[in-house]
Amino acid sequence: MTRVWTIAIWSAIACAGAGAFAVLALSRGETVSAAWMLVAAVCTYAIGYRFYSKIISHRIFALDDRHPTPAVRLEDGHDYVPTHKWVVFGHHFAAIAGAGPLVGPILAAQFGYLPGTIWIIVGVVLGGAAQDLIILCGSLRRDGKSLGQMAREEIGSIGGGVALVGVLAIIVILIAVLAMVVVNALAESPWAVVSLTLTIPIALLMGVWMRWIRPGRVLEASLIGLVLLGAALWAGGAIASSPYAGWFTLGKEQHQLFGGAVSVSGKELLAWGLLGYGFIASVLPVWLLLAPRDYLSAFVKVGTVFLLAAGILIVLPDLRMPALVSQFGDDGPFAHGHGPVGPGTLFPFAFITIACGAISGFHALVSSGTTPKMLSLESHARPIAYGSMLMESFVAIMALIAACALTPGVYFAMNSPVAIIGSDTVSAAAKISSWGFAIEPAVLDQLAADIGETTILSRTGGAPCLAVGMAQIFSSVFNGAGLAFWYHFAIMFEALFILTTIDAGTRVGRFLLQDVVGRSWKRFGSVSWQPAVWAASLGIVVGWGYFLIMGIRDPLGGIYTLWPVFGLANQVLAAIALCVGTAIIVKMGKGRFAWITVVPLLWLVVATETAGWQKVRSADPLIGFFAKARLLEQQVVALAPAVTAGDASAAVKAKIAGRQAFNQRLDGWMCIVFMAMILIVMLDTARSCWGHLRGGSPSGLVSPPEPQPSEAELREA
Amino acid sequence: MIPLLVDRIVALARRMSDLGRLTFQLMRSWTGDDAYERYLAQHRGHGHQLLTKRAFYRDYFDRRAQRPRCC
Repeated sequence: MTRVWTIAIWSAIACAGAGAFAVLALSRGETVSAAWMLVAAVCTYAIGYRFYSKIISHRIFALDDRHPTPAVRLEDGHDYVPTHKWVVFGHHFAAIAGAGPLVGPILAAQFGYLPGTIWIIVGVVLGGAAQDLIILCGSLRRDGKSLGQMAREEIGSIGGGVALVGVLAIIVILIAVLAMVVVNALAESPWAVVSLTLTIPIALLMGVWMRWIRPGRVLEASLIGLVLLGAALWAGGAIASSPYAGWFTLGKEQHQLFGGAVSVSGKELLAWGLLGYGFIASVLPVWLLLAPRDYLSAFVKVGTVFLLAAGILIVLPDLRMPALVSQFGDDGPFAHGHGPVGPGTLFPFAFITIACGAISGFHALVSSGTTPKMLSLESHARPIAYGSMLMESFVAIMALIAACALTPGVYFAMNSPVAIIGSDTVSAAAKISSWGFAIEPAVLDQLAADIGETTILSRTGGAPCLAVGMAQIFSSVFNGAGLAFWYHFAIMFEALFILTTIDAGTRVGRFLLQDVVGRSWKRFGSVSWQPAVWAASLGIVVGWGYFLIMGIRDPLGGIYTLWPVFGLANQVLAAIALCVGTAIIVKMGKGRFAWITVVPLLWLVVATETAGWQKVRSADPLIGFFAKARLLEQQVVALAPAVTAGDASAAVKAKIAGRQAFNQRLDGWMCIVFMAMILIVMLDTARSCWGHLRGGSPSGLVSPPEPQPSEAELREA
Repeated sequence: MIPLLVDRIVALARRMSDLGRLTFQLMRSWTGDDAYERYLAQHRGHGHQLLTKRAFYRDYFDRRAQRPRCC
C-alpha cells in the first residue's frame, strides 16, 4: 500500500510539473500567472532530487555514512571541521549564490519567459546540480582536493594548467562585469550612492567591534550592522530629497579633474572609486573590512531571497512578457539576433546569458576544496550540493518572474543601451513601441518619479530592472505603498553583495596569481611578503579595471559587450568541471554512468563553441567582435584626412574609435582562447580516460576508508 | 479536558523553544560566533599553547576570506 501511495504521489508531482510546462509553453496571447512557473520548477526539482541525484550519490559514489569523511579523519579545528548539515548548507549556498542567478535571467528575458524558464529548470537538474554533486563527491573521496588539483591528477598537467588559467581569467571578467552592474545601479542615483557608501563605515565599525571591542561576537556585530544598514537606507533617501542630492548624482555629466587636464564622466568616477575600493579591500586586514561586509551581505542576501519568495507567493503576478520574442529570420524587431539587451539569437546566446541558476563552473571551486572539508557524514553531500544548486535555480526563477512581470516596454527601456533607444523618454518610447511593445513616455517618467529616480532609461546591467520588479512585488503586498523605499532597498541589497563578490574575488584572485607566479618565483607566492601582496592585488585590479573602464567608455560596451564574454568564460569552467567529473567517474570503473556528465558537457560545448564562433566569425558588427573592429578601423581611416587637417573633434573621434577597435579585437581573442581551452581539456580528458581503460592512467582517488561499524552494530557485537 | 489542553500548549511551547534554541545555535555555528568555544573544546588538554580569542578570530576571518565565492 505504501509503495502504491509513493508511486501515486510521484506520478501526481510529475503530471503537475508537465501540466505547468504545457501551460507555459502553449499560452499565446493570454495572460499567464507566475504560479505556473513556480509549479513547473518545484515539481521538476522534486523529481530531479528524488531520482536523478540518487543515481549519482548511490549508484556512482555509493555514499555511505559508515565511511568517515575527511573532516572526521583529518579534523584540525581550522580547515577540516565536521559541521552540522544545515550550517554547511548555509555556507555552501551563501558561497555559490551571488548576483549571477539574478542578473542572467533578467538579461535573458529579452528572448521571452519560456527559453529562460526551460534552461534554468532543466539545466539545473541535468547539468548544474549534477556537476556540483559529482565534484563534491569526487573531492570528498580525495581528502577535499581543489578542482585544479583534481584536474591535474585525473586529466593531466595540461588540463590542470588550463583549469588554473581559466579560473584566473574568469575571476577577472567576472569582477569586471559585476562592477559594471554596480556602476549602472549607482549611476544617476544619489540615494543608492549615499546608502552604499555608508555601508563601508558600517562594515569598518563591525570589524573593530568583532576584533577589539567584543572579540568574536559575530551575531551581535551583525545585528548592529543590520540596524545601521536600515539607517543608511533612510539617510540615502533624506539626502536624495535634499539640496545636496547633486553632490552624489553621478552619471553622464563630465567632471574636470586636475585643473581641467583630465575629463571624466560621473559613471567613470564611480568606476574609479570601485577600483580603489577593490584594491584597498584586498590589502587591508580581512577582519577590518572583508569579514564584516561578508556577514552583512550574507544576512541581507538570505533575508531578501526569502522576502522575494514570500512576495511572489502572495502576489502571484501575471507574466506580461510574451513566451517567445523571436530573434530569428528576417522579420520582427530583433531579427538576426539584434535584441537590444544583448546581441545574438536565442540559440546559443540564451544558454550563455544564463549561467548561474542553470549551470556554473564557478560552483565547482566551492564544491571542491572548501565544502568537502566540513561534511560530517557522506550522505550530507546530496542535500548540500544538489539541494543548494536547486535553491539557487529557484532564485533565478524568481528573478525571471520579477523581470517578466514588468510591462515589456519598461523592461526594454531599462535594459537597452542609450545608443539604441536614445537618451530621452520620447525617443525611447517611440523606438520601443516600434518594436511592438507599446509604451507612453509619460509612463516611463511616472515610474522614474515613483521610484525616486530622475530616469529609468538605459539602466542596464539587470540590477535596476530587478529592483523595479522586486519593488513592484513588495509594494503590491502593501497595497502599492513604498515603491521608492523598496526600489532602493533592492538596489542596496544587490550592490551590497556584489561589492562583497568584488572585494572577496579580488582577494581570491590575488592568491591565485601569487600561486601561479609563485611556481616559478617562490618568494612571490608568499602571502606574508608585502611587495608580492601589493603587486598581485594591483595585477588583479588592473585586469578587471581595464575591462570595466573600457565598458563604460564604449557606448555599446558594458553589459551589452561583456556579459557574453563572461557567460562564455563561466560555461568554459563548467565544461572543465564536467570533464573532471567524467574522468572521476570513468576512473572509478563506473564508465556506464559517464553519460551523466557527458550529456551536459556536449550541450555546453555545442552552445559555447557556437557562441564563440559567432562572436569571432560573424560578419555582423553587432555580433562579431572582429567585424565591429574592422568597422571601427574603417571609421578611423575615413577620419584621417580631417585629423591631418587639424580638426580636433575628428581627432578625438578617431582616437576613441581606434581604442574601441583594439578592445573589440581583445574580446575576440579572449573568445578564441576560451574556445581553445574547452577543446584542449576535452581532448586531454579523452586521452586520460582512454589511457585508464587500457590500464595505464592512475587516479588521485583516495579509496574510501574501511566502513566503520555503526553504534547499533557495535552494541549487537 | 482543560488539563489536556494545557499539557498540549506546554508541550508545544517547549517544542517551539527547542526549535528556537536549535535555530540560534545553527546561526551561531554558521557565522562562527561559537567557533572559539569549539576550538577550546577540541584543543584543551592537549598540552599545546592555546590561541587567545583575538588571535583565534584574526586567523578565523583570514581563512574564511580565502574561500572562493561565486558570482
